[in-house]
Amino acid sequence: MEKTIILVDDDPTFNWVSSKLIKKVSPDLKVIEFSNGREALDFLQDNFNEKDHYTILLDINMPEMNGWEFMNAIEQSDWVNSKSISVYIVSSSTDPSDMETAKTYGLIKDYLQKPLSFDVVTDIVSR
Amino acid sequence: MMKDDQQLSVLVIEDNPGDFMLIDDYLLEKFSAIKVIHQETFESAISELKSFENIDIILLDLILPDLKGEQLVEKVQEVSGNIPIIILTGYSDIELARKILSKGVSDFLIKDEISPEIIYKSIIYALERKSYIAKLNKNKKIYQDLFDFSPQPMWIFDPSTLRFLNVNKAAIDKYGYTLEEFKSMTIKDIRPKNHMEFLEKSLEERKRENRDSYAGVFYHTLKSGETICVEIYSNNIEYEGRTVRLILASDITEKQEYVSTVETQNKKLKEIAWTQSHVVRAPLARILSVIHVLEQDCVEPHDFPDLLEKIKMSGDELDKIIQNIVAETNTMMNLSNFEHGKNNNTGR
Repeated sequence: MEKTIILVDDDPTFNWVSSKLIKKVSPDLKVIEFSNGREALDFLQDNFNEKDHYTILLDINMPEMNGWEFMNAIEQSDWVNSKSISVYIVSSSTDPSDMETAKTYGLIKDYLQKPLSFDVVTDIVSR
Repeated sequence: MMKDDQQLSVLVIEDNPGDFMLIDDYLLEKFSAIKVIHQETFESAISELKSFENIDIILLDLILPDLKGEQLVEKVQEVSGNIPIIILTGYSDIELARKILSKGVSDFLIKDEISPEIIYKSIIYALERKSYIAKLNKNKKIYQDLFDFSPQPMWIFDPSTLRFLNVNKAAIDKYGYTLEEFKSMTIKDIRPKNHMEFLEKSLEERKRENRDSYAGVFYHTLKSGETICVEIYSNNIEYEGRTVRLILASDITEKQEYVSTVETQNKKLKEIAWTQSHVVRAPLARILSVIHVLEQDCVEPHDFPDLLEKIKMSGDELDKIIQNIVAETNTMMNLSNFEHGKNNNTGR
């Protein structure tokens, strides 16, 4: 089983920082960066393997396809399964309605505030 | 016996010299500082009353050569104003004298029974009664003035017919109707047309609850057609023998407008705070995330220029956002100041 971390954020700084922190915790882990939901969805549709595990760190507000649209798309796909995919929302939004929306998706494990600290990243990677 | 030393001017209207002498004697026996003026006919008495102003009491014989009876009393009363009148009469005219008493004369004395004591008592009683009535009228006027000249619009209406019974000056000025117009109207006529159902419901409710006093906020329409917002206080009072409703209305239209301006302003400020806190968080989170990376010592030296650029970019972004907050808040404040100033001008 191969473990892949997928970073989805339109702000390259966050992807860059998350990637650095993840590499520090686990230098050999495969990390892929995308700048919106559409790119991440295309990647998963082409490369998803149910034997592997994908941890997705997902921003909400993004152009092209935002976090919620991405979630709707993968939950409606025929290949998705909850053993292979864990999603963490990573957002700077403190809007309670966003946190409530996050709870309606079974694949979303947690709602995390930006910026991610080293401890939080360590926790996610080692799960 | 001690004489009464109060200063009195008495006009005795009596054509019989013997009767006058007797009365004059009795008066002088009881009053030490009395001035007795004598007239023998109705005509001379009238001119005396018109020219001499300080008469305290009138003793009037019911039968004079030029006029007598009820008509005489009425004519004298026309010029005597509120000077008390005591009627002098013989036995044969008792019935007539009794009838005349109801016309507002103070007393009647039967000539054959007059004694110094009787005439003294009658005069003192008439004077006391006069000053008591004057005091009563003064109090009545004070309370009437409180209603008529109160700066607050007030009125009285009949709860069964809803008709206006009396309306004060402030209400006439405020609503634009004359007193006569008000008296031909019901309280429905100062309500907006689409509030009738609400009015009937609230009247019904008040009747059911049977409460004495009531307060609430309503809309009223002025004669000009303008609608105002009023705060009402009302009470049941006795008025000319029946229970009516006294209403005190204060125009709170401007106050309401001011409150709603403040509320709108608060809502806008909250919106600014809410959206800006979202926008502020993005660059702040970016700076903090860069700090996290630096803390973990996982940055290569060649990354530094890029990191510095990211921090600088976030700083600029923050600066711009803060300037925006200040600008938006200022615009809003200026706008609301203008609105409030405008209200003040049109309200006066």
